[in-house]
Amino acid sequence: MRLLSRRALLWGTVGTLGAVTALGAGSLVACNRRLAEADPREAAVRLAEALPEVFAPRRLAAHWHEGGQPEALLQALQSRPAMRRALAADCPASRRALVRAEIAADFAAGDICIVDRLVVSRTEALVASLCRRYV
Amino acid sequence: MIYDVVIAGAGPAGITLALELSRAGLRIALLESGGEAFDPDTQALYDGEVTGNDAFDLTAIRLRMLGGTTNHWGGHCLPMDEIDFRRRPLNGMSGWPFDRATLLPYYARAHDWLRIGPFDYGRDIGAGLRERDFLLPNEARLETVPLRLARGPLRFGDAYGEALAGASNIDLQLHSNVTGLALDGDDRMAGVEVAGLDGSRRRIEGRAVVLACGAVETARQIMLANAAHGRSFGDAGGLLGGCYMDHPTAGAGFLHLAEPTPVKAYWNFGVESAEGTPLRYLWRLSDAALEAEGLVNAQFFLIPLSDDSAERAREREARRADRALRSIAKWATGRPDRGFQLSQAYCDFITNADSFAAQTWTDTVHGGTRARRLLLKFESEELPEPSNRVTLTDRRDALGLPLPALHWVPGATERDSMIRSATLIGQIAGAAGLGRMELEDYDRPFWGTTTSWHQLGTTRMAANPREGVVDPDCRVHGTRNLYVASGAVMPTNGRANPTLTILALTIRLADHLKAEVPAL
Ligand SMILES: Cc1cc2nc3c(=O)[nH]c(=O)nc-3n(C[C@H](O)[C@H](O)[C@H](O)COP(=O)(O)OP(=O)(O)OC[C@H]3O[C@@H](n4cnc5c(N)ncnc54)[C@H](O)[C@@H]3O)c2cc1C
Repeated sequence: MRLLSRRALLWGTVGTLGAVTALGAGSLVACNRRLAEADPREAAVRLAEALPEVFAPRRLAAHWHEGGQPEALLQALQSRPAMRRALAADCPASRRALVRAEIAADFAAGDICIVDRLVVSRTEALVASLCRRYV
Repeated sequence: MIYDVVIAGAGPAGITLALELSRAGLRIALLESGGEAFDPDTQALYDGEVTGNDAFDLTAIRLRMLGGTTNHWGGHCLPMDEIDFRRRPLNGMSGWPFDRATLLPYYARAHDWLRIGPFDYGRDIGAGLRERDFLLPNEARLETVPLRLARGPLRFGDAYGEALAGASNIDLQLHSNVTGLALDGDDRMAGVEVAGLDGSRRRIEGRAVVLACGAVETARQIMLANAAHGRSFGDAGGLLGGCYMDHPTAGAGFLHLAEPTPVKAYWNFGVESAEGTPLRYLWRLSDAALEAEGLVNAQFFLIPLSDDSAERAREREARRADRALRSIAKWATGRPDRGFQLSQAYCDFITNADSFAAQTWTDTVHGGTRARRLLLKFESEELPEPSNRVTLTDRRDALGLPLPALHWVPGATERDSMIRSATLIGQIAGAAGLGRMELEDYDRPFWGTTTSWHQLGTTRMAANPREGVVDPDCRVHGTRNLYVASGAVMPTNGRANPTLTILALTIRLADHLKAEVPAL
């Protein structure tokens, strides 16, 4: 007697994969909802731990005013994949690593701004500007 | 006596031309305004006005003595880039009438005259350098490139004085100022008029006349001849004296390094090629990047800055001691520097010996002072603008000739290019995690630029007489036998220090004259 028919194996695999995907997608949606609703102040506090990755944050914050209100700054940050993960990350070290990666990705993609003669990534300008409001 | 070729000016161009031609058995008169040593009265003949960016003086930017301006040049040698020949200048003026490949064999021969080893400018020519000696790997947009140093820096008068004296077919005449061109018929030069500061005057005749007096004086001589004879040789397009170019230079920005960085090839002045030519390394944007972004060419020197003022002072003093020690060594081996005084050099060394010792310790034990900030200094291509020009004034020199005026204003296209280039370098450095770029202040007068001491372009080369002053053989348009050997003929100037290209063009002219003179 065969314990496992081929059909059962197939359906079992499909079912498991489906469950995993649903779980992952569900948690992403939940996470996104949480972030979408996130408070700029809370985001600023979390990102402050990654400020050493940002070049001359005070100078950037003092001279860069294009980002708009804190909500707009946060929204702009959330539209960046690594930053979304950084905001959600609980571990400060991973948060820093993700901010660093996003900054490098900005530079590689040419997404830069010139702030008070400094050539910086847009992420740096956004983070510096958001943090300055609350931290 | 009628010479085969009369050459006015014994700087590197005139000397190289004379020696090249002498190998072909031609009889040469090489007329030099100065003597073997500097003389203030002769130098005063180089006076003139500068307007616009007047950060320099016409009596300082060129030297009137045997060997010409190489008596105080820097010796930096490198060829122009492929793009310099391929594309027209960004302002629509005409470009080079031939490609870089045409000049390659002459560049190789010019290397011999400059004593700078084989014609090879690969990044890997530095003996013993490894990847970690560079800040970034070469990438599609930014390249690390070397330049070669003519050791000494090589002074052509000292280096080739004996060869000139030993060549039986070269008649080197010092203290001989060319003051005019003698005409024979409509379009042919009979020779040149010569005057000495002692009041002597004579005519020297030749089948061909070559002006090799540097860009300002060469244009001035043709203008004087046109005025004297009521002609407009080389001036059909109104460009005689126009399109003067230098390499505007200033700080492009500061690169704040992510990590304190030990000595790299760019500021390691001990790097040499395998055969012993001193090298300097710099950055440039690739031809592809220049083309994609529509930028003028430029080179960027990387100069380390320490933020610690005591460290900086120590480095300065150590350099002073090092210079003193080297000049003492040269004196001891029978090659003293000009103006060397043993007492002064000894005193300089002793005064700074403590800093010298401390710096040597830092260099050997810690691999040198660590840089936290780099100044990026650019030398930019300059577009050929007709309004940047040499003209004649009412003031006269001691020989009674009108003095020149030079108007020079580096343009907005070049400024915008430097801002964009530095930004792009900042972007590349950021992506590599190297650091952040802080741009210089470009709002200063003339965007903070000064001269690189390169005078080019006043008798630009073009096949069409309306677009230039000399033809592709360096012959002045409208004449049969008047030629120019000088950076004056360059229609564009790229980023490269010009003397290697001047010599390549000169050797090409020599080959042309060897074939042409018998028929003139
Ligand atoms: C401070 C400084 C640093 C430099 N550093 C570099 C560098 O690192 N790399 C580089 O490539 N270039 C450098 N240059 C430029 C370099 O010196 C010139 O490109 C080179 O000397 C040009 O050679 P030339 O023979 O055309 O002209 P010159 O060297 O100027 O020679 C012209 C000769 O003509 C003579 N003359 C002038 N008028 C008359 C006349 N009426 N009759 C007879 N003779 C006359 C002069 O006395 C002189 O001997 C530097 C220049 C300066 C000032």
